[in-house]
Amino acid sequence: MTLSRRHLLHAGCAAVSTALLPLRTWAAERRFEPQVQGWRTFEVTTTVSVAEVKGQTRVWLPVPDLNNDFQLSLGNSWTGNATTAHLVADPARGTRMLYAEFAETVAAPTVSLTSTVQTRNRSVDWSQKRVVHEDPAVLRANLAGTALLPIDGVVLDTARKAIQGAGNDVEKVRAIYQWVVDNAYREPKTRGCGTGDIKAMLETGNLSGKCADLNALFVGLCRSVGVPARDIYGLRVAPSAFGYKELGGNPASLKGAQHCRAEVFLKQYGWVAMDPADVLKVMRQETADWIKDVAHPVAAPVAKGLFGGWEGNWVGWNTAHDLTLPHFSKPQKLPFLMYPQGENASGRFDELAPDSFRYTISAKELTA
Amino acid sequence: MTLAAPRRRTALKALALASLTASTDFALGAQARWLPWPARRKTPQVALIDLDGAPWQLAQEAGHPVLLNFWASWCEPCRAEMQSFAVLERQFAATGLKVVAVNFKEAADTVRRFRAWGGPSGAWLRDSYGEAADAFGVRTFPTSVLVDRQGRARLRVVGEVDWADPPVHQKLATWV
Repeated sequence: MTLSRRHLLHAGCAAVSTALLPLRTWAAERRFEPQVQGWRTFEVTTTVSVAEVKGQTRVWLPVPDLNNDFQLSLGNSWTGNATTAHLVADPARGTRMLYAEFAETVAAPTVSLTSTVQTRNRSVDWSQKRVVHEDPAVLRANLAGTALLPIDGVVLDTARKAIQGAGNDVEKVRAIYQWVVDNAYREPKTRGCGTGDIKAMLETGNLSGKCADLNALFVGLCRSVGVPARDIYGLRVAPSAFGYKELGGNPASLKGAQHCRAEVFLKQYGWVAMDPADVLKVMRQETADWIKDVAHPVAAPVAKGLFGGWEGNWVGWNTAHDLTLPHFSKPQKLPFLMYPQGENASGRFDELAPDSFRYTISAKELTA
Repeated sequence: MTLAAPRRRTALKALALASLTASTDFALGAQARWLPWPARRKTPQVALIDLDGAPWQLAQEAGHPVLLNFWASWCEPCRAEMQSFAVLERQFAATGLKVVAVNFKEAADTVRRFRAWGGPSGAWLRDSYGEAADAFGVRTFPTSVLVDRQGRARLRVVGEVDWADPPVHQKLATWV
């Protein structure tokens, strides 16, 4: 539905029937303004079962591994019939995950992981500039290229065009955010959250995808022009408090609720929340029609709110790229760890087919 | 923050390929890219397993040409070209050409279901770790790599091809 058509519909509703008033009100009053407030506590449970057993089975599950001003990772516990299970860490970055190993005699491998985590909204106050210090090693790491996020070639060329006229880092980030929203789009058919191969996206001109593609594009473009940025891979655990159906998860069944967000480091504000992928998701999927104009009343509040903020209805696992899974049978690195991973003698499991590599994820909000 | 009106979405221009971003929103029928295999680049000696768990190595195919087709079930152009491989194999039967289907990172059940619909007669392999795709530099699906009877990669074809098309056979005849 275009903006003008929507306006016509509003006029028609008002003139014809008060019964349609709720639709008109809904359309006119959409808001998305996350404010920093109290913590919410969630228990997130991931249960994995492997149907086809062949030799030893190994499984890796992401755990909430962030402790900062918007998330506190309080602990993990697990049950199941694993021969051994314990927390392990990617040797390069220390990113933690649960590792479960099942001897080939275990007929139906299963493991259930419960993580307790507190989250809250984020919202930067752009009027409050300060001097924020960050570990130089952290900044260097978040300026570096990765296997799928190179920071030279077509990525750098694209970023330079996107930030033309921008003076400082805030302006650069604003220009890149706008460029992503203007040029990329959400593709619902993309498997999982996408793979985040931004070089392939830019070289083919296919700027479609989901969060792991779209926010990776944002992060790579920022890094290439010297703005520290990172993806945060995680999971939506509750509905949006602002009524956006696409910005929340059904806590009873979180299959497909994986979502990565992004952050940029700005010297006068610290790490700042960003999520252009969710802007594009709302534009593509929130209404029956694909919203093509970000000024649309449904999209505009989200575009504004996700530049510097997000809702605490989401749990972050980690920020790592190019991880090494301890005990993995191959000397390969994983581009990112957002889904359960597994392998046995028949090979690596397809983490994007949760009905064949069976896993379920659910969340429960704990109230005091 | 104010956002400008959207510019023309470059992503909506005609696309022939399903990149690793796994989009399936593209226009069919655009030109595939026929790229000679770089002379200095060695042919990767990949080893995979087939759907029955049996080991397979590229080296065992020496003595006849092989077309390695890298595909995934979520890739529409991959599905579109799959049926035409049977015609290609018949056309080049005298050369012993085999088309080997290399699935990218999907479950065995998914591949089995897909194979039941038809396709090439050669091996159906699982590249569950993506190692073969990495080794052959495959970042876009479908991609097919022609390996000659001496086991040397000669050609990489990126994008969907109608392998039943006579002009395609003429192109391949140089190498097969």
